[in-house]
Amino acid sequence: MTIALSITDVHVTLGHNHVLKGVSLDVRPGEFVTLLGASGSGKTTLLNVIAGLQAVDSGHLTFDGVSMERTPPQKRNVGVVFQSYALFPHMSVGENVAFPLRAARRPARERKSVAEEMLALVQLPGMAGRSPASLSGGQRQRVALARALAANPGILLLDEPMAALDKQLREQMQVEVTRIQRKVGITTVSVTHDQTEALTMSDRVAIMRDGILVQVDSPEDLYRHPVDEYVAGFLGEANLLPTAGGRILDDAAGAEVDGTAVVRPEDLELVPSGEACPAWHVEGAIHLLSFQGTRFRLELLTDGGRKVVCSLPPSIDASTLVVGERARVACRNPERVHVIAATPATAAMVAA
Amino acid sequence: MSSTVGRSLGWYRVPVVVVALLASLLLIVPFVILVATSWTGGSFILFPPEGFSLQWYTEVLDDPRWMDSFRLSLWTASLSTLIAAVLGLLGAVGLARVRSRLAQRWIRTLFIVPIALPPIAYAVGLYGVNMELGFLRGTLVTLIVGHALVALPYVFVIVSGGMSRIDPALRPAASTLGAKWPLVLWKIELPALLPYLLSGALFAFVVVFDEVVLAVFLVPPGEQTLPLRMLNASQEAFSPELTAASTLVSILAILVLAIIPVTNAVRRRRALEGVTR
Amino acid sequence: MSVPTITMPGAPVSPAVRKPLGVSRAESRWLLWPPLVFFAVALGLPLLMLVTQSFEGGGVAYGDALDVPTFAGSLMRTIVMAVVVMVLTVVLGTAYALAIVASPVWLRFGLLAALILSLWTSIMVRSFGWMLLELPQGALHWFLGLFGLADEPLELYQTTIGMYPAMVAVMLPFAVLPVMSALQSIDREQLNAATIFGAGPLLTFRSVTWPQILPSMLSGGVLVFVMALGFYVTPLLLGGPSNMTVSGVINAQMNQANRPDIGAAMSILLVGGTMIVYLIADRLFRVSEKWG
Repeated sequence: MTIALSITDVHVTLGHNHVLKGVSLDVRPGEFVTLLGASGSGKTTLLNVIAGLQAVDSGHLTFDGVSMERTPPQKRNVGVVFQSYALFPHMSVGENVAFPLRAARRPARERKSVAEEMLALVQLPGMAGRSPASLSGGQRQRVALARALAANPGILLLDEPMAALDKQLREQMQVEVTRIQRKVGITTVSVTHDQTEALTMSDRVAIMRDGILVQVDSPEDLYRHPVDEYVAGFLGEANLLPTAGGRILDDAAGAEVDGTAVVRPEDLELVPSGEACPAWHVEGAIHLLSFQGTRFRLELLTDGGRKVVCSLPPSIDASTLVVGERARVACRNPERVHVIAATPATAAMVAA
Repeated sequence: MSSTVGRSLGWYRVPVVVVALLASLLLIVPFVILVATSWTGGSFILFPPEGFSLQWYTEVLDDPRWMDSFRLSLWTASLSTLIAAVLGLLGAVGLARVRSRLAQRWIRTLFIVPIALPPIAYAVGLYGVNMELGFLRGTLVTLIVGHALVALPYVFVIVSGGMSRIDPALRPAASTLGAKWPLVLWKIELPALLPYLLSGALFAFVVVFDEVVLAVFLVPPGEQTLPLRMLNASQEAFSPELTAASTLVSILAILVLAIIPVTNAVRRRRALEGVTR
Repeated sequence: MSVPTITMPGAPVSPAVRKPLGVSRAESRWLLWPPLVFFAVALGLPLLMLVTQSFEGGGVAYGDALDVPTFAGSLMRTIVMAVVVMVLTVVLGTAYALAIVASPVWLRFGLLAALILSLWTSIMVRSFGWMLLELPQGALHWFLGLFGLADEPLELYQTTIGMYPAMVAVMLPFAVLPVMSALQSIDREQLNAATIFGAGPLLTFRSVTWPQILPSMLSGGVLVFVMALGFYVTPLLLGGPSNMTVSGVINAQMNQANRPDIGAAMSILLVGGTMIVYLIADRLFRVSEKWG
């Protein structure tokens, strides 16, 4: 019973704070969309708007084309996994999972069978009798997910679902939540400030900043073709360098700059001093070299005072890289360089 | 937060608020009547009052017996409060340093027990002490000590509340920097606890100032604390003089306790000014 | 930089396990000794006096105390009164606390002001107010007269019925305050969760609010009960001689019958009963920890 969600030009003001400034977003049935942004960007408010916990000043919200602005949260048939999970502490795991059915006055037998079915789905079979306090963080999250899905909602909302977990468990649960979401096929909107989480789990990621959606795209498109410097810098490490005519312009003074090149560290490689350089290259003094297991992270300081980060394979001979020495790095595949045109708002897909 | 609780009650909020409003009448109405009867122009308690006059207030304030009682209450209550404040502070600070969870619970219970102690039984016990130890007879020592015990829990509870808001890492941090415990207490904990100590002490003062059961047994003949004089007056004849005195005592209590929010507001404003400067 | 932290599932590290660092033994001893010595003197000595006094005649006083005709009746009356006052106060106090957090700002201010006014003024003064209200020609009589309902003088003063509202009013703040602080720290997300999953007000209250305020209601109730056991002033002023509490009987033994040994024996019974109730309740509901 999954639905299509449509949000059109939604405005929300809290006190004197204009939190959402005209947000529009369409989510296809069964799609997983993550709202990604720094704290205070309005992403949680948007989630509350969808859930019905936050009234809108203006704008429209529809589920499968049916307007929802006047529908109270109880009637919207949404499932939410809260940041703290909000499991009811004095109820057993099974009672927690069956709570939406109890609220809907379903018979006890059905509640029991649905609870067991849901707990099996989240791989906690036989835990119905336990108390939430006796569970680990990951298990609690699974229970919260089972409860959110128990009443067969049309849309699933996840509020910072991984925030309470430690790093290793987080990666594991990202895969797990995605698996369950795909299996159930439910439309899902998640909120996070963790970019790895957003990239791992979502079909599309919506980048939010100051109450507006900056860019909504697939993780790869966001990474490869950010619309502006903010998105480029927000997702992963990026070198943002001024360009003119298909070259990096380190000393930008006096020259006609026509855009900003976004070059990812892993697309750069060292060019030995004897070799000719490809068009996209930059030169500088070695500032910092650190070994990080899967890569060497090399930091150059250009003559123009810019920092350039470059990932080198761990197999290279690092002994030649001495701090203070000069080095050249280049991107051999011009496709991998994304240029944001200097005139704002028009995102040109210029490559060489 | 409150709006979330309110919303969760749905339309049941209406009956709940109505019940609370009726309950608030129980709290306010008797007090309003008490105050109103005191400004009567006549010489008897009447409601509604006859006319308006402050004659009974001047009567009370000019009467040396009322004023003697007031002074007696003032200094004994101050002394009791001082004892309670020092001991309550030491108790709250010391308790936070006790390691055993069990011991902590028992000591905590002990410090709060005087709230539950039936005042009359305690008064009889103190009276017995007075009789047994002859040198105490005719003095106010047992009254002051007894009042200090009654007041101690209030100081302790409020200061303990403040203690739990101090960052527990501060003390170890200070001792790794070489501070000995008296210095930590003096420079780190005490300044943080001062507002709580103040409100605890003021509350304790008002409680002790109004306490009457211990006074019935322990005040030596010939003297009367203010509440004792009021109780005795009420047993004889209920006069506008008594309600005027009651009103004055209440106003005094409200003024004393209003010191707390006012000083807090001033401190907050100073802090804000410090930031903006 | 980021060392993976290993946490044992199901074993959250509670702050209680952590030992306070840098605390010398001498320090805690010094700080706690003065108040403990004070307790020994100011609480221990009077209690000791009560015990020795009551056993002066070799325990006869206890038998005599139970033979005092008013004692048994007052004991029953005091317990019934304490129970009734406790129940009424907790019910009203919970509604009051709920109303404070659930009403609009102006109303919340009024309710809080009424609460603080009565918390800050003395029990005796408030009892005077109730006397003025209940006197045969008192304010209530006048008020009823406005509607033509008061032909005869009111028979409320110094009756059992007239005593209860006053005692509930006097005790109300002690029941409101703990519930109010429990309501203020209630988990918002749990309330939202109940709403989202379709629960109406009743189910939300039963499944989220109630379990979180119940401990505070109990501890407020215990405190009111225990304080009501020692009630003296309000019943004296409003209940009259026919509604004497244990405290009143003790007072009569001391000041009228002039039998301090019986007074002491009764005091021991009263203190002992109160303390047993309080300590059991404290173990069960952690009353002391709800304060502060």
